[in-house]
Amino acid sequence: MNWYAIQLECLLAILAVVVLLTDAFRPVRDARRIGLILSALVGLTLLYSFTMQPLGEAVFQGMYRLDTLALFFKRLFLLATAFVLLMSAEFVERIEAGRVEFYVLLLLCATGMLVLASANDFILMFVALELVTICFFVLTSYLRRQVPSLEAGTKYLILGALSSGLTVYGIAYLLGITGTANFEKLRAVLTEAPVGEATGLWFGMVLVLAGLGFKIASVPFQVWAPDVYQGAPTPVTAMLAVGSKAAGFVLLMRVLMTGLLPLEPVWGPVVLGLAGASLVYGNLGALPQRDIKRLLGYSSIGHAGYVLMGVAAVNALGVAAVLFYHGQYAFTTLCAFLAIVAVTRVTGRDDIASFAGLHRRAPILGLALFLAMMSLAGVPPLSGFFGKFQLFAAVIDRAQMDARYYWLAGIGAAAVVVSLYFYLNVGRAIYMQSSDRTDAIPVSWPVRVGLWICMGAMIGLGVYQRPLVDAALQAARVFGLE
Amino acid sequence: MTTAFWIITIVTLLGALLAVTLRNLVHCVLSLILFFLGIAGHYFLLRADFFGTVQILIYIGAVAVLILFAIMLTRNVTGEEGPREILGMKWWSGAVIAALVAGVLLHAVRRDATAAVASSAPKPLSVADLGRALVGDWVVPFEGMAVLLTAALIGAVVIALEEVQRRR
Repeated sequence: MNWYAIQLECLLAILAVVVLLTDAFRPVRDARRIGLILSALVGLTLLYSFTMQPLGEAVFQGMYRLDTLALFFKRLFLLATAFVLLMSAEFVERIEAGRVEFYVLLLLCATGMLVLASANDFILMFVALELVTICFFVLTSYLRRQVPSLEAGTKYLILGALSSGLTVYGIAYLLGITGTANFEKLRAVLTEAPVGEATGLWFGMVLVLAGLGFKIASVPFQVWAPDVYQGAPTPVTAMLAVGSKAAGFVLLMRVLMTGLLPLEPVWGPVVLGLAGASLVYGNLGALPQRDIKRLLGYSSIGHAGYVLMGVAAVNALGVAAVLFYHGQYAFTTLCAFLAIVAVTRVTGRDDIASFAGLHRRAPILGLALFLAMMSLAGVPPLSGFFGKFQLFAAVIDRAQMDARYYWLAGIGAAAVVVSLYFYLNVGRAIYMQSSDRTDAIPVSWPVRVGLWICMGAMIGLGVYQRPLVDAALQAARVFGLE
Repeated sequence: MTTAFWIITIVTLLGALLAVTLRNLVHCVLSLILFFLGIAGHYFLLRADFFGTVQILIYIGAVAVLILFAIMLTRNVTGEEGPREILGMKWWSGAVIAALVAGVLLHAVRRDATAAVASSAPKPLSVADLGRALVGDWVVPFEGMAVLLTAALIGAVVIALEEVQRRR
């Protein structure tokens, strides 16, 4: 039974080791083909994961949960990994050394994320978190001859190490005061003891929140995001935007809504504040950006704000909305980055101006990037609209009891309006501006397939949301919230 | 027992002294390993088998090897360039720090001596218990650490690889 629970992680880790050893004994000549094969294999793993059933009980001494929530996020991470590997296959020619190791590190990083989705214990959570973070330290600085990549790697390393230190310090406080690292036992201890008696408990909670806030790039732990998003190799940026962020959110929800739920009166307003601040900072900061990856970095902070709205609502609707949002955000963001990788492969530039006239040079790339931007902005009938709609519904639902939440909804609505400007700006470059270069940009068939899948999902989930909504509602039930 | 104590103490101090006085960085690390071994010997003498083993595993097996790796990837190993004076102008600040650390340690040891008598001695942790815990209750974090270390090693090699290629 125990092995059943961790089979997906084992599969990914074994795949990584096999690739590493194969390359050691028979050096790979065509790194691009390996990337495509790996992408297909991870895609097959994703399909296989749909045959798995959730386990009711936590396994490994209550440390590891394979509930519907964990499965939901595991599938999300597998999806992201498959697409990021596809991007990497298109990107790999720009890497000078260690091409195969790039895939290996991505796979190991994904392994860590899959474990994170199930972590029900601070110790396991920290180990898995470090696995993900250390892989990103190397991946962000992979293009070390390029100063931006080096800068991204250094910033991520320093701030990442700091946040890991804060997290483990906070865990030590929680562990020392409550005597347990298990989320469920922690909840039991906190329910019995009078809330707020120990200042150390608050201190520990704030430190853990800070560490997770770094992962999801929420204000005030967001400073790294724009620089790292801009400088890191594009597939790594995509993995950060989709995988790392979702991993941070699943942990945040498990920690807050299982372990620290009795302290909700304390952390509720904090999350509320973080959500509002992230919304304002991310969307205003994105306005003057000229570089598309940097723009997406700010936009990622803004989206952390939207998703935090769902977390702050602390109801079943909110959790389901968070899950749905992540599901559709994955397709949207992966679509955007896939298109960016395909374009920059030819142009070699990341600034928005270089996307001018894209619809003439490569109609499918132009369409994909345009749709992704519109979905991020939340324009109906694309999936992003419905994702935001659910989050707002959850916040309004909560606001019936607590009027402060109306303010949050108001800030969110204002942020949506502001964000339209900079997302449409990219769309304007693609369709309205002309460029002196009119040569066609070649698009390989795997990228085409990936783009069609993403675009299909964006439109499909915008029109027919039922399957993902049902899955999200079912997964949200694990917290037992109303 | 006393003879063993003195031999180990002398070896430990010698290792520590050589580690800070030798010119060649690699030699310094090797002396440092000698020092670590001496500390492990002290743990064994104190019947803290687990600490002794961990000292060897972590300090010699990981920390010293890490330092060696770092040195191998750096230039100027032999120490022929750079400041020659070891006991420079700032020797007294080092002495002050050493005295402070020694003071804190002595204070802690003296306070702890009374506490140790009062508290009942915990059940000694055998290596077998430890092994059982690592592959039993804690198997997922343990295996997670294994994957983590693999990833860190691959990452270190990738970074070093590029460095070597650039130097050529």
